[in-house]
Amino acid sequence: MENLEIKIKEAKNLEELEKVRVEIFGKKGFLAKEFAKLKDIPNEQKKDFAKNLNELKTKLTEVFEDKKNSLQNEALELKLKQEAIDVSLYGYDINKGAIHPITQTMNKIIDYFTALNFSIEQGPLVEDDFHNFEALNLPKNHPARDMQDTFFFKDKHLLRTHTSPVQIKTMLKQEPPIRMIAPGAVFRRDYDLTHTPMFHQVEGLVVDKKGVVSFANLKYILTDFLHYMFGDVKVRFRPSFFPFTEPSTEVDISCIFCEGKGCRVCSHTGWLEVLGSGVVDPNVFEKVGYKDVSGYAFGLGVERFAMLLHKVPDLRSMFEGDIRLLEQFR
Amino acid sequence: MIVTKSWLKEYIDLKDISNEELIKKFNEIGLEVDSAKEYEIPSNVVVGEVISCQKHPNADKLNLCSVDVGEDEPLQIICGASNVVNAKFVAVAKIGAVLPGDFKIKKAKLRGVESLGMICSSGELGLVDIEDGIMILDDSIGKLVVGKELREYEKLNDFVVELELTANRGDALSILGVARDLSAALKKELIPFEFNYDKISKLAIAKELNIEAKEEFNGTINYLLTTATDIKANFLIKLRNAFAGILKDSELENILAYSTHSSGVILNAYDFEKFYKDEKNRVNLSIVKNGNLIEIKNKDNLVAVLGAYVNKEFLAKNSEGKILIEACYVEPNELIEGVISKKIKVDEDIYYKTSRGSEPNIDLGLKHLQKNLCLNSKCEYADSIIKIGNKIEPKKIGVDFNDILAIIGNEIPKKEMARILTALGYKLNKTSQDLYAIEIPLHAHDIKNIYDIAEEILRIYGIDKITPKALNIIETNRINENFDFYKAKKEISDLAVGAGFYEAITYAFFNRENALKYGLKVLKEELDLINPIVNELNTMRSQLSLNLIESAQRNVKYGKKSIALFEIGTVFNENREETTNIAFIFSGEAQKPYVTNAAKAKMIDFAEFSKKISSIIGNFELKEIKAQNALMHPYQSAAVIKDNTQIGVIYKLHPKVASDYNLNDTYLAEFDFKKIIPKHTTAKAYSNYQPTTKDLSVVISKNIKFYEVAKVLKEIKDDLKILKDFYPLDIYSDESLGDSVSLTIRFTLQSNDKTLVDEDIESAMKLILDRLNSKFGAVLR
Repeated sequence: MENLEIKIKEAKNLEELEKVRVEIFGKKGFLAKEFAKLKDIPNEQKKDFAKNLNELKTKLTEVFEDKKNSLQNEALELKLKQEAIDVSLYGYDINKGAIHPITQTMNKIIDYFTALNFSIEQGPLVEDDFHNFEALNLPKNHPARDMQDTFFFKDKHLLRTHTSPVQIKTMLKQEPPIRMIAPGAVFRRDYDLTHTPMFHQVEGLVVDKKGVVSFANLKYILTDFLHYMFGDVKVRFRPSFFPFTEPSTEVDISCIFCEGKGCRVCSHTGWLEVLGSGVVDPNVFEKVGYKDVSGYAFGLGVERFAMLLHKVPDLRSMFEGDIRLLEQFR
Repeated sequence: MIVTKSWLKEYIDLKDISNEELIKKFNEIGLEVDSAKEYEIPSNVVVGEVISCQKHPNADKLNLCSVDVGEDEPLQIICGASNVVNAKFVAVAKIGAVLPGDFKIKKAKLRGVESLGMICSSGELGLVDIEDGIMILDDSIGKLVVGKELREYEKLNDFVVELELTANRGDALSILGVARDLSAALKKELIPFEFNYDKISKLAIAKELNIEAKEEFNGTINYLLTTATDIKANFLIKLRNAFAGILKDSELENILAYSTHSSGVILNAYDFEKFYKDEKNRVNLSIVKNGNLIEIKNKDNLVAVLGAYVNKEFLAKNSEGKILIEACYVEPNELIEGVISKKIKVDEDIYYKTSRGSEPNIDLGLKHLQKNLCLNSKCEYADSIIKIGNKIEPKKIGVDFNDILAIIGNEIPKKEMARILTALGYKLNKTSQDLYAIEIPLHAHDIKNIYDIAEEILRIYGIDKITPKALNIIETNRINENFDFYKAKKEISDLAVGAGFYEAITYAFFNRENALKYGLKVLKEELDLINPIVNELNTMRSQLSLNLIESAQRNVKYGKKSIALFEIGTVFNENREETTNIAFIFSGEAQKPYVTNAAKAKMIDFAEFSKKISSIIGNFELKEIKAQNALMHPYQSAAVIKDNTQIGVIYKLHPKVASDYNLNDTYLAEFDFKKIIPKHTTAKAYSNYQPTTKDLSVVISKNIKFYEVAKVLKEIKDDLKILKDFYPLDIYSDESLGDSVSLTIRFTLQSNDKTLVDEDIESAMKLILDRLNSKFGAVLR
């Protein structure tokens, strides 16, 4: 009896336990033999014998099950142990690319304006003089019209020097009210440390009935936009001049590198110029046949925003697919 | 445009305005401050009077000077500058002075002789360079008192500001013009310029000069004849010209430049003796129009193109004889048109001003010059001034102040609006309540309409004071195809990033010759660029791949072994029509040597690359195609087919090109972006019965590509409804198979309405085999 219990308990593994099981619970095992004796037991003792035997069986079964569980757990534990790996070996082979900082910045800008119910408008990169210059009230002597600054094609077409032609195209196609941005690539014949022949702009235009859209509205949205982009910065508006807006204003933010104290990046002024904007010049509306309307327009360079936001040191590296730069944006 | 505070003070009272306030005000009113510098002479630098000067006993080039600095005894100072010999008043840095660059002045012995200080040049004092040698002072900076600290002379310790003017601000290209803006902004009256000359000679201009204008022209000219001798621009003129970056070589030129910079009026001085004279010993000048240009001629010689060019032959330098002075104004728009249409070469200094609109009040400019000449030479003027040209009438426009307020969007007191305009030189004539007839001053030639007037008011009133106001809008659905495109770009880019690709942005150009070398399409000659910026970027790109190959090459140089890039950008076909493409490049290691591959790098291959692409653009089929250009590997190039149309190509970079660019194994794919945008999905009912997979191995000719087999299987699928799917499981060849291969295809069979029984499966497989046999001669292996 005790013996059997010990036998179960001493089984070293599931195979040994199986042998013990056959020995005890098998068809020819101990219990079967004991139960077989029952028929030879006198009737008056039968009840007790059977009761004891059943108790024994229950007890042994219990011990057996416990042992089986524990051996199974041990076996599992062993198996798990064998599966152990050094997890710290992994993670040195990251398989993720990155979105270009210019695109990230552009998307952030687009998301702001679409959230404010601006539509996205697009136009071709190859434009003509009318859409790129004339309709925008650029005087004939404007330096931008010079071969020095603009890429021209042999058939008098040109690469757009700003995204503004999209404004013209949209106004020619749609009736006011207009509330649009035009993001995209633009081209100027400049190639040095701070200029690339292609760069990106986002241009905005709002047009409504006469007397509805004012300079104060422009000031509101640009201030809010710059806070969204750059966080807690000071915003400064300076009167300026653009052929297609009047009054015109350039917008500065307090330098995010020195917090306005003055440093190399802001040429020790404490300010960084980030936007050009203004009330749409009536000559522009006249060119597209709009009457009795009011509007504002603004434009910004995406590369400049990207360089400021992400402190990218070199403009030109952004156009080289340089993984040393891009992998930082994973 | 460079101004100095003391110079401005000649026109406006700035004594209670700090330098910081001045900068702030400039920026506020649209005169952007580019840079600003406060000049300050160090202490212990005083006015000295040179009493005597003799050669140093032991050095030929040194002078031994005795200089009175207001102390008991004059100081003995050794000076190396040759111009000390003629100097009277000089700047003396005494013992103990510390000059810029931490240069301490100490008692010194030079070649055995003691020197008790230093006579300074302007550069040594931290000022701008004015002349070679030491700085020679005069009373122009204020009464010179021997021994007085130079830092007490305000005009020497000036505040110099460089303004970056926008193209419409010709009116601010002078000290007077800038002062005029400040006067409106600071609410201070301009100090009137006054000068009356009495030095009239017996010279009768009419006897000396005859001017004939053959046609009417849009400009005004004043001619003044003078005799000036002993011309010597004083110290202040030179100092200020140096501050302003307009310091000239000659005395007369300095006086002219100074007068123009002060007044904004274009001034020239001709040597009267150089003109051709007629038999009556008279100079004849004729004014003729050449298109929109106004030319001044002497006999047949061109003397000047008004506002654009001056013939240097006729210019006076330090003339001792008669000088003809010319002050002029030309209408800028006509001038510009003339210069552009006649393509003439211009004097940039003059044209910069005249094309933006120089100061039209030429009488005032001439007075400036007369005053400066009188103070800096012995001069006399002829009896009268010849004035010629059309008086340009100021424009008038009617303005309702309420319309201006609507443009600005804030309430500004109307009285203040009127004050600002008046201070800027506008003449207001009230016609009724809030309605004005406004006469625009000539110097504001750019002002044409009410928006321009609004700008003038806004910049002087101050944008800072404008309360921002949110615009009330009517909600409108502005989602359009561009919005959808933007969203698709974002989503697909994110997938590409997830597959390990970095986004590249490259210029929309490439090199035409290089593109042709690789057999890529290029713009038709007649549609190409005229003026590319560099040869490498001399035409518009017809595909993105070549630029990505170049980017990959750069990354190899940077030591990258695994390069995965993608770009979404515009490409141009031969007719210069634009399409947005997306392209991918993978070059080098698909897996770097690492624990996971027992330190053996795995290079990218066709299978791995296709798998990456499919994780971005979804299911597709590949069909073998011939290389379309020299970039493509002749035997590893495929058309990518989706919904039975080709959406792009996928290929191995030709090893020859790879070696041109120093690249390892490289794969590329390029697609028309619009064609990979996921389409709207309509879900179909799917079967609830168990699917069965069945593999079929057939021996088939090597020349038959799987794409052809798949085409036949798809036809079968159309009829055999229980055939749900198939794909190549294995391909095997050995010598025993000869020109054939063993191809194993895995089929998924499933019925929509029952559990398939063996007979169903067997008959389906038989049908497939029979068809492959009849089409391709395939037999069961």
